[in-house]
Amino acid sequence: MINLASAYASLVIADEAPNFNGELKKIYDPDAPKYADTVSKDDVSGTEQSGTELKYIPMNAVHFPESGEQYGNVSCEKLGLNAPVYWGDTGAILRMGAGQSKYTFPPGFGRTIILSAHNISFFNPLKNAEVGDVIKFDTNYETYEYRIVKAEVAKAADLEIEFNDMLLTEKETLVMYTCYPFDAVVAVPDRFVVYCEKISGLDVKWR
Amino acid sequence: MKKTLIAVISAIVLVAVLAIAVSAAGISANEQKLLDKFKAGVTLEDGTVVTPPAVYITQAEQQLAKDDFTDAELAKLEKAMDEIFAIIKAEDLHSGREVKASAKYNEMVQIAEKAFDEIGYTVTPGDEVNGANIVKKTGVDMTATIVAVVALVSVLALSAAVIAKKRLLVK
Repeated sequence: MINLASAYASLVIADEAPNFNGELKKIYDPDAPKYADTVSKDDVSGTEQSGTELKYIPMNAVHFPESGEQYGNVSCEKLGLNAPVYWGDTGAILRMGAGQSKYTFPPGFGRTIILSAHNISFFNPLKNAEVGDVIKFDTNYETYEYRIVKAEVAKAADLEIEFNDMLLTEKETLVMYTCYPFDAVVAVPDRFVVYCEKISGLDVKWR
Repeated sequence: MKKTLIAVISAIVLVAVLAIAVSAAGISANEQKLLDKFKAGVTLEDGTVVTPPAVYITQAEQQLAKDDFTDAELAKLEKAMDEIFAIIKAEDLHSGREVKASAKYNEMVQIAEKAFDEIGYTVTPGDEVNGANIVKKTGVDMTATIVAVVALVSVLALSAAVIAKKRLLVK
């Protein structure tokens, strides 16, 4: 049992863990210019976007991620959090970073975002999370910031119901959760979850 | 009025997609109308309102945002959805299991397949885990991301009871 736990722990801790799933790919480029940086006044002249500031990002400027694609990165310098974000939350993805539930939306869409990652690796820094901490979610099209408004321990079964209720909510909330306690290396019934409200970043006009 | 959340075969028809949009403009007004109709579901004779689960609605929203459908294509999908909803109501089917066990099951599947066919897709039913394989008639395999909601069989299989037992949102 100890050997199995140790082996499991080494798989999820290793920063250089091999890509077990050849289908994982990276579209995220932290150095790529954001949408606002690529648009000139001439581009939007005469449109509803003309003026001193852009009001939104058009849908056709956004690549909606496909399953297995790393399309962003979440970080918080204060917490030491820095995790690539993949679309989907399979076991292979969770070995490489944070996985996003495909039943939710990317940042900027005004809807719930649900991320999960392993407690002893990518989301271990959440153990020091406090209300008020700011999380940065960087994508190719924009950088978004969210402030933690609630942090708690909850049963996974209860969260399933709560998350389901949040899916159609017309408010952009970033949810990040992981297994609890933070040093557990086997399946546990509890999760540590933080809820974050959006504080900055252009909305995507998708409807 | 009793409200039941179940998987509805029409979800398949609505979210048929794997077209890789050249320039996705988001959800158009007509796409939104179809989406609203889908979300409203169907009301059975006893007052039970059968609606798609939230996970299917968000997936439908995503697909319609990513892919652009012409009004003609939307009309075909809507017609198929109306036909399937009518069967569900006529047969008084309250759950995915009842739909799958229904004598009209094959007819509903054929309606959905025909709708796909008319807008240029063939569908191979999958299951609730792997979803369906939808291939554009050009021969290009576009089985990129598949979600359960587009799988003919999986939508029928995922009744509210199954969703309650299987966690879809929490790992």
